[in-house]
Amino acid sequence: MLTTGFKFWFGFAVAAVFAAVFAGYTSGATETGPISLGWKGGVGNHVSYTIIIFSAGVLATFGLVAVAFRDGDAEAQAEVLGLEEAPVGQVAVGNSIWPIFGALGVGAVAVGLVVHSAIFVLGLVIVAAVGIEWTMTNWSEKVSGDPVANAAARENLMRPIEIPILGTVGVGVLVLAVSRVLLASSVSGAVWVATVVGLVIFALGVFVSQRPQLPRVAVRSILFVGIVLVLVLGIVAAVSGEREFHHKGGDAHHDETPAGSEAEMDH
Amino acid sequence: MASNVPAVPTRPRTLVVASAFGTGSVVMYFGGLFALYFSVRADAMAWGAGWFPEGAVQLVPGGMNMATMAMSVITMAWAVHSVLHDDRVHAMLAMALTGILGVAMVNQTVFAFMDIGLPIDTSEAATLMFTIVGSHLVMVVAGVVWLGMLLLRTLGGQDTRRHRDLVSAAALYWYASVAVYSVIWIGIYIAK
Amino acid sequence: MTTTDTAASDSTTSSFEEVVTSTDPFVMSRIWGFGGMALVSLGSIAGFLVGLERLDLSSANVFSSADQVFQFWSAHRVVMVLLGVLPALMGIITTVVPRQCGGSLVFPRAAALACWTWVIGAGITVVGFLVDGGLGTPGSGGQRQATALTLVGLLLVIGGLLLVSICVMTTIVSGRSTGLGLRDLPFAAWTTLVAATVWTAMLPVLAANAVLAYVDLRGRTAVRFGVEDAIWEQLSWMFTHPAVYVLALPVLGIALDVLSRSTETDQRNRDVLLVATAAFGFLSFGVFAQPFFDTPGTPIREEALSVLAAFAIVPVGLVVLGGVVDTLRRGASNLGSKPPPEVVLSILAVLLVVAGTLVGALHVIAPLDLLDTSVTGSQFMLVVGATLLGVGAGFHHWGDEIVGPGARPGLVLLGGLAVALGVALNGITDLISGLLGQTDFTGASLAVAGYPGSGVEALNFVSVVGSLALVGGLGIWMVAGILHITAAKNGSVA
Repeated sequence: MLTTGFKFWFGFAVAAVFAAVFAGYTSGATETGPISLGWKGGVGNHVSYTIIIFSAGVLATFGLVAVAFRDGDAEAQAEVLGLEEAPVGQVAVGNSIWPIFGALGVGAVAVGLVVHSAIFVLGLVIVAAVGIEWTMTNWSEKVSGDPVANAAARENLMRPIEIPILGTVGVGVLVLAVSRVLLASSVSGAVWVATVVGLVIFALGVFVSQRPQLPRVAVRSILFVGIVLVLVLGIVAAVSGEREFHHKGGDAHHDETPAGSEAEMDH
Repeated sequence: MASNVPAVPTRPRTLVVASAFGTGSVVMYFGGLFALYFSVRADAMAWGAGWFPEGAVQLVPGGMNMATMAMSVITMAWAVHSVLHDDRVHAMLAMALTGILGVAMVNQTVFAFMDIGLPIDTSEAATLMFTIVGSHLVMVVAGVVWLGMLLLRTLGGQDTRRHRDLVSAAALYWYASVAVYSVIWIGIYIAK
Repeated sequence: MTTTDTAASDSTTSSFEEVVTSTDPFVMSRIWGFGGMALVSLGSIAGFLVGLERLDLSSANVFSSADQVFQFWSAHRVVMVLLGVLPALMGIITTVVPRQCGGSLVFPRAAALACWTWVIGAGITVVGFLVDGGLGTPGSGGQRQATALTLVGLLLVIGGLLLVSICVMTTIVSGRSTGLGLRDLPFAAWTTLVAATVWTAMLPVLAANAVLAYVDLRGRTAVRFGVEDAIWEQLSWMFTHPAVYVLALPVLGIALDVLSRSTETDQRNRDVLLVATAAFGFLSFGVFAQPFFDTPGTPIREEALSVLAAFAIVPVGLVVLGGVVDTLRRGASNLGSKPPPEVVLSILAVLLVVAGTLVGALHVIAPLDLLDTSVTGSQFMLVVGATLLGVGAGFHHWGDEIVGPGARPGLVLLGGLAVALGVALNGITDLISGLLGQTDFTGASLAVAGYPGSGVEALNFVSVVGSLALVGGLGIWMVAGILHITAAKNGSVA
């Protein structure tokens, strides 16, 4: 028996074929072009004809999928599983960070295409990482019917990979950002920046350690704000450029330094 | 931490249905590009203007790619067959082979692009060709990544039969990428 | 029962974290709904500013150049459709349709990804328009990089909309409860299936147009597709007859369901309405009508298929209107003396859709030569306005399910009437101005405006008043929505 979905999509497909042929013959087609996909004769307006024919193919495929799966009726799905009743269409999944990070990755890819290739590559890395994490999350959900055990299975598999990679990336990014700030400052300024930043981190560490009852969200917020601050300062410093460097000795750089320059000597 | 509670069954075919709709969208994207390509080409021909410069687009790279993609249809079907028959080793082998054929196709196309001597902004023909073939490269790369993710899950060691829908969904997408390439092969490399 | 990435009820997570990591369709629905409506308001303001510029066509007054007028004019259409109305519809579709199917939205994480991709894409698109980009300019006065940014933003928006459409379609096909066949679906779910089918076939082609323009725009001098004054023309088919009708399709379903439930009356001739709505979807598949690729001398909109589609959709719209009228006639007694706001808005929405189809048919009559006139704008406003009213009706009707109790019927009705008045004033005045020869894009000079006949100044003034009413109505709706959510939140806390 032909299902409703098949009738709907296949009917659309047949109507699309007629529309394509009609469009062809009423827009300058010749010979049997519109009915032979342009094999013998012209098809008329190529844009109309090609798009409608492609849509007919796609819609016919939808129709075939619909009839093959009996419109996805719950009864048919239960039969496939050998159950009395089909399971629910979708169980509730909890919160997940992968969608938002995936979107940020895709956004970075898009912006990177226009602005800078580094952002593009960063976006690709984010998308790849999210893809792997998402896949493993889905995998872990099928391990058993116990969510706690599933979460443990996922953590056992992914944590040994995630923590070293994230740690390396995190440290690398922070070192890079802080080094840009120090390189953009003057010699004495860099010393002051390093001292003040070190003291602030130390003071915050003491503050947090003295208050074990501090909510996790507050600690997270402090870390988040700190990281964002370092990143923003790092980007600003990188854009503004490093201070001028002059090397001791008779290398090429020294030769390029204008005579009598009073620029600071950097060690 | 192992658990004896069996996994909750999920509805079968949902992923295949979604893949059919998603793949349909991708095919329509290419349908749009082909429509513009054929339209602009027909106009150029009607005005007596040339399309690609003589000898710029060679049939051999396109033909080799078509052969590679055609072979990948067989290996993909092998993967689907193996999963349906709960044959994990062959399923993994077939998916890996399909992925490798995809990578080979990407490699050949990139080589052909480097060698073609037809900058993208030379003409409308070059812009359209690079957009279509480049988009198809992205489609194949996405397919290879998808297969890679499937392999990762299969290596996770779950019951192979659970991956039926996943492999069928990926296969649908892969067959579509081959179908799209066949239009590229006929419409761009052969018809020129 | 599944594993969760993070516990949904983790007391240590902030509300911000809760929202950005949520995969709950009801949370996503608020982002779609509020985001979409906020951007509709932004688009309406852009339209209002362009309307102000039209008041004096002798020179540029509000904007500094014709290029800037064009950027705002095109932004108005793009933002209204892709960034505003369609996403707002998704807010209803992703929550109501799965319920009508007896389950919940499948692939909720993918749907969340779609939502955030749309949010980011919408942000990039708006920034692209604001930094002198947009979809090109007639005088090539825009920034190429900003134009490229707008295009990639638009691609993200399309990607997000496509992904969520696929989730909804899959839910309808594969997530229905036992005993519910496709033929038994409520009208909102059925028309969503039809519309989503058309979206999955149409939006990728729009993406193909945008990708081609982007590829040509980048790098050295554009060959043809990325030339500044050619980009809009390649994408414009999405924002006019017949493609724009597909926006209104789910609204027909919403209206039929709202009326059926409010009047407690089942529709007669259900199968006829199912076929009519499917036909409406088929006839709104407007991707074939791309004027940029016209064969010289034969505009695609005057070719037989376009004309046939434009006329065929009128009786189809009338059949749906007939279904609405019949249901009302039989169930009016159940409405009481004060019909609920969603009933009023639904009726207005269907009437505007039919009016839009009539204007669309008028538009393609070759001897009248209306293709490039403001009749195009009139039809756009009527159909988009109908969709807006339908969205408003839907949000109010199912508001208690989506948000919780606390709806403000008075404000919703007031806002809806203001929107309807604004749309009607805009649509009617643009129609008459178009008949008097005013072009669709008037720029900032009489020459570009086509030296329209006398009286267009007064009509354009009325149109501006309409735009103001539209912006006001949307503002009232936003306030009503915020009050509703606040009340629901307070209610749940209490």
